[in-house]
Amino acid sequence: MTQQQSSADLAELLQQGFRYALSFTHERASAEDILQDAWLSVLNAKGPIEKAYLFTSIRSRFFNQNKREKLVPMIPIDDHAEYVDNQIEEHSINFFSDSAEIEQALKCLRPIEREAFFLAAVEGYTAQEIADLTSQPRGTVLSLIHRARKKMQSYFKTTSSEVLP
Amino acid sequence: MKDKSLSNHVKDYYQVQKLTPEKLENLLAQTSERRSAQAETETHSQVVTIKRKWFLQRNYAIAASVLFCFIAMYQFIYVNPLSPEQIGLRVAQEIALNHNKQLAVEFVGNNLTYLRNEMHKLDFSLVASKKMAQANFTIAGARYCSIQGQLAAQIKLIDKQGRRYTLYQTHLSDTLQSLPATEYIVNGVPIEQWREQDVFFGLANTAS
Repeated sequence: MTQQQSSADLAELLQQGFRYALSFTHERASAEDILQDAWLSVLNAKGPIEKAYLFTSIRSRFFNQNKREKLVPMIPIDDHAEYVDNQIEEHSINFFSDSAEIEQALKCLRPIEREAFFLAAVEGYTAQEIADLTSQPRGTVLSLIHRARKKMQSYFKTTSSEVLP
Repeated sequence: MKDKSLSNHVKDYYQVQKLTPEKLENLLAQTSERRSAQAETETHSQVVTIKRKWFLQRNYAIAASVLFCFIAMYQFIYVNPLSPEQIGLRVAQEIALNHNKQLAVEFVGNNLTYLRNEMHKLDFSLVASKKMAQANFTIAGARYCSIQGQLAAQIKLIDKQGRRYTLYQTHLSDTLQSLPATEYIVNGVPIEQWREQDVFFGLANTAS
């Protein structure tokens, strides 16, 4: 993007940034706060407003505001091999029917799992692109996405068995 | 919806999540304000840069002018010395000035041998000019003076008609060496310049 970005471009970029921030916080108010801070930081940089720069800024602000050790516990990379690069399993999910259920399922995930899943599923990033953006090994990214998927499937199975005895 | 994959459901979920119009408006307004401020700052810094450049250029121009003046003065004084004609005129002016002062003689005597013996400060020997041999001048006396900064003898002469002359003799320096035999009239005083042996001669005539 160039300096001559239109309002529409900027608005779309802000919406993408908001969704990305929401993938961390899972709460609108704090997502807006993080976006606000990150946006000002990007503006102060005086250069063209890049999506990657905005996302990086949002990410660093989220981790700065929350203790990394508390919110992002280190996990062993054990089962990422089950995941094929950029191939999110496309099993049909028959256990949920509305966004409220999705929201609850996403709430079960840790912020970095939600982030990885968001970048892959919503932004369409490859594992390598996510690894570059988040400065993590590709294997870790694959593992995070896999765990997120497992957790959500597990959530839906549980709720489904509760609803359908 | 039941046919959709998990990632599609998550995608749909996030796609509907949007900033409120007020918040979005607020952020876009901040963007405009910040960009305007940045543009203003850039303009200001450009103005400052231009001013600084102008001051620098002015200082360079002043320095160049001063340097040029020094070079011009050096050229005028040292590199471009006066032409022989200009020097001749200056010598003539000097002779006319000394002649018009009509200062009293220091050494009174009517022959050149006497003056030659008395005026021992001179770095040359007074010479009897061949050019003036037939004029039958009478020597009235002499005094020291200077021509072009070097010591000279100013000899008072009187001709048969009683007209007063002043004869100047000085050592033939490099500067005077180049002067051609010339006649001038400075402030109404006729002046004649010439060379004989190693002596420069200047004759000022009061009578005319």
